[in-house]
Amino acid sequence: MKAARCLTPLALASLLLTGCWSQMELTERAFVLALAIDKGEKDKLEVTAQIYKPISQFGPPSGRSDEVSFNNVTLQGTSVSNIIRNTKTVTGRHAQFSHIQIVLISEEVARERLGELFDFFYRDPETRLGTSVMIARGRARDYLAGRAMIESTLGSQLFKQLDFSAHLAGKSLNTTILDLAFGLKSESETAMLPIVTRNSGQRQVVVQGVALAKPDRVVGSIPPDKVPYLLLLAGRYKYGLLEIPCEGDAGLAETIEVLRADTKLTPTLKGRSASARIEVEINASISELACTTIRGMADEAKFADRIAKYFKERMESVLDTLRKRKTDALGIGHRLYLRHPGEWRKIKPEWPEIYARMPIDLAVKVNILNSKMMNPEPFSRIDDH
Amino acid sequence: MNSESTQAALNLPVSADAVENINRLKDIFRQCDDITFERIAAGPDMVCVAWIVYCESLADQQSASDILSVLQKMEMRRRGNGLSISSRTIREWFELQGVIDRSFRVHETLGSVVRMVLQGHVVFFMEHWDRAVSFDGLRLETRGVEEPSAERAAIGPREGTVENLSMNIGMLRLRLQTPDFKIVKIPHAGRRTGKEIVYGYLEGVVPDRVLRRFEERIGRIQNHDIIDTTMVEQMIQDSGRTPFPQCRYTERTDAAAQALLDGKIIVMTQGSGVVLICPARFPEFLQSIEDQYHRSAFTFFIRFLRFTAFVLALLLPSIYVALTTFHTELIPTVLLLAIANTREGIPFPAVVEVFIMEFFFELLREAGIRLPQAIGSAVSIVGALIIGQAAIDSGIASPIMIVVVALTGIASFSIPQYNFAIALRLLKAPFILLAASLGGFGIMIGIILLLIHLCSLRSLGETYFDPIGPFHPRRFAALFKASDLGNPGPGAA
Repeated sequence: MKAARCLTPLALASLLLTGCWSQMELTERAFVLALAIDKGEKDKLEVTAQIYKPISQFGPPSGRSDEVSFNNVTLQGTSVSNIIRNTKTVTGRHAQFSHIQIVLISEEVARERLGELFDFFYRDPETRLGTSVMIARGRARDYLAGRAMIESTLGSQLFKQLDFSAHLAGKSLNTTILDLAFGLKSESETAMLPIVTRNSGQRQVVVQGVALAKPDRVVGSIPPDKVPYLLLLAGRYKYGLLEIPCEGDAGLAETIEVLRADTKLTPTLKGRSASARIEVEINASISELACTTIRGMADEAKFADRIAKYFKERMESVLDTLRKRKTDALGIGHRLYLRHPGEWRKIKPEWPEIYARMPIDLAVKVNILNSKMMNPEPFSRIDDH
Repeated sequence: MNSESTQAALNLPVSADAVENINRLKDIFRQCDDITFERIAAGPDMVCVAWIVYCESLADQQSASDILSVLQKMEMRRRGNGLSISSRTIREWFELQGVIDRSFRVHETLGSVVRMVLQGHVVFFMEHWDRAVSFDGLRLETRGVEEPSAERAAIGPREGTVENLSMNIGMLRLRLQTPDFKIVKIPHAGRRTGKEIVYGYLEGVVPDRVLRRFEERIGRIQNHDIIDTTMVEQMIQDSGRTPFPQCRYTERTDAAAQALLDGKIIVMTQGSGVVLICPARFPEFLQSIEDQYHRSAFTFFIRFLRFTAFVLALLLPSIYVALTTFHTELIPTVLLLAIANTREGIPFPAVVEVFIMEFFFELLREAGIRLPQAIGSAVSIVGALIIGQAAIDSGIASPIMIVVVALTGIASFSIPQYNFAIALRLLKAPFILLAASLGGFGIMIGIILLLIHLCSLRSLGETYFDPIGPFHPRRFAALFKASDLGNPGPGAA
């Protein structure tokens, strides 16, 4: 009994400890799977929450499959957290944010403000910093309406598309709420965000392109065809196919598959003049040939040089765009700060100008690892013996 | 005459007057119609009178007639000397003539006579002699040696104990052919049951302090009526309040022999095939003798699996409750949505649902045990298939809950020691309550209290939770290995 006398106060004291005290049945919670933030009336924000609607297992099995498994709740207000709190008046259940898969910000809103939208996400214990953020062309809530292509909810559909686009296609990149904070709060004050849009012809939702944010709003974007080169420069290209147009023959292009890309950024600061060297090494295999015949080491080296030269041109054009917009998406400024914190403080006010005109030396190397075929020449040109 | 006067009569010495003895016995055995009294007259002019007393339901009829033939031979050889027969001559007679191949005992009190009659002896009184002689005439039906149904093994000996004590001892003796294997008999424990209880140990292997403590406690058994070996546990256990058993049981002779080699003490009783092994420690309940017969990689796997089963059997329902009511963020989204689907429309909170299904499962289990085998399987079919499905369809329980409860049940079945699995069944409910009120914190509080309890438990004075608490790395690692034949046993460690 002595033990009980000791343990009881301890057990009671444990009730006072901090923790996640939210006992609630699953049937009392509404799981928010995606959020879309648009511009509302006047200066208000409009937040759309996609809430999962559980399908009861009871009742006739027919008709179950056709049911849409989510509802969208759209509310207006001035602060994100307040709007979100108000969703309960519509849903009747406690909105649970731990499983948000994607946050969409309409370009219109993002061009005005970005950082303060996420204040709630950084503070709230329920939201996750690993949630991906996307900039939506047009109205963000429209992307949460309708049916998902394959997945059960549009939130996960968009996330899967983003994942593919970023990791397998190299058409975009995945930015979490935490990445966004790191980007905007770094010395370069620049973040890159994926863009979700509808492709012009089929009106299908695609995730491609990168929006540039600086320092707390979106200032511009890189079109999908230039994104791979941006990612290569930033060292964030994972895997994907890249086209190289045939020389002379305008309609034809050849394709290589990038297996691995390594980027090395070396910025230097001397007094008030900065310079940088970017070395990109790409390991690739031949995916499609149209006009090149490779019959030996010399041919291969020639082909690799041609690719490198072409890539370098494209990367330089991306670099020019970045510099023209004064967006240091590659984080050169931040790297300088890490290396020379004292001097950085002096040049920081002028950094955008310095960045815009500093010499950047770009070196691209391409290694062809294999050709996927015994006979590495265009199929149409292989002789029949 | 009441039972007190019977007690008084039992202390009386055997009288020289045979008729008086018989009358007293008849009084002690009043309304015991299976006790047979036979009067025999022999000698010239039938002067030599003798009585045979035996329990006809226990003793072999043949034994009684054996004695008659002995008497007849005696009469032929020593005609006329009937009056001068003394204990010495009888003893000589039996020893020298060798007419009876059984051992015999001489009794001086009625008490020991009564005890012998009830153990199946044939007792023989003679006129003018204040002693009685008895022969073991016990004829008892016993099962054949077969594989114990509760401890089947895929590999290894199929020999199980039977209800005959001497056969059991014999089977053990064959496995341990050393004079170090000591068998100590407590011949007549319990005032009414009069059980023969036996404990055995390997001298030099069992620690002295354990043996001393055991003998101290087993000494108390004289005054208790024991029906089965399992009741001995209450005599020798350290704590009666804990749900955790402090003794193991087996019906396999190889398991009993291994336990002796490991420095354990075994207890067996006449009329029970259960062998009690003490002192038991926590990890032993998750081990089976069969583990020793496999390759060590498989032993590691199977013991690890059982340890997982232990955790599941104890905690799975409470983890489910804690996850779905407190920590939904820990469930992967797709799984969460699936669970949310199954929970939608269930009128009860998760904790009530768990208790309904656990109660349901325990009920089915209990019903299945008591029923005859043929109906028992019907119960499990009705229970598992029909009622389970109906519970889901009618919205009392969600399918995921059925999975949780069923998995918990299967996990508890995979624990080799039944009495240990019972402890887990008992502890499940408090854990569910803690999980429902405090979530993951509740489970942690429960686990901490449980660990404190386990660390403070003793089994015959030995630490119960050893080698986990106090932690001993090498012996802990050994828990997951089959015993290395190159190593000294735990007794030497």
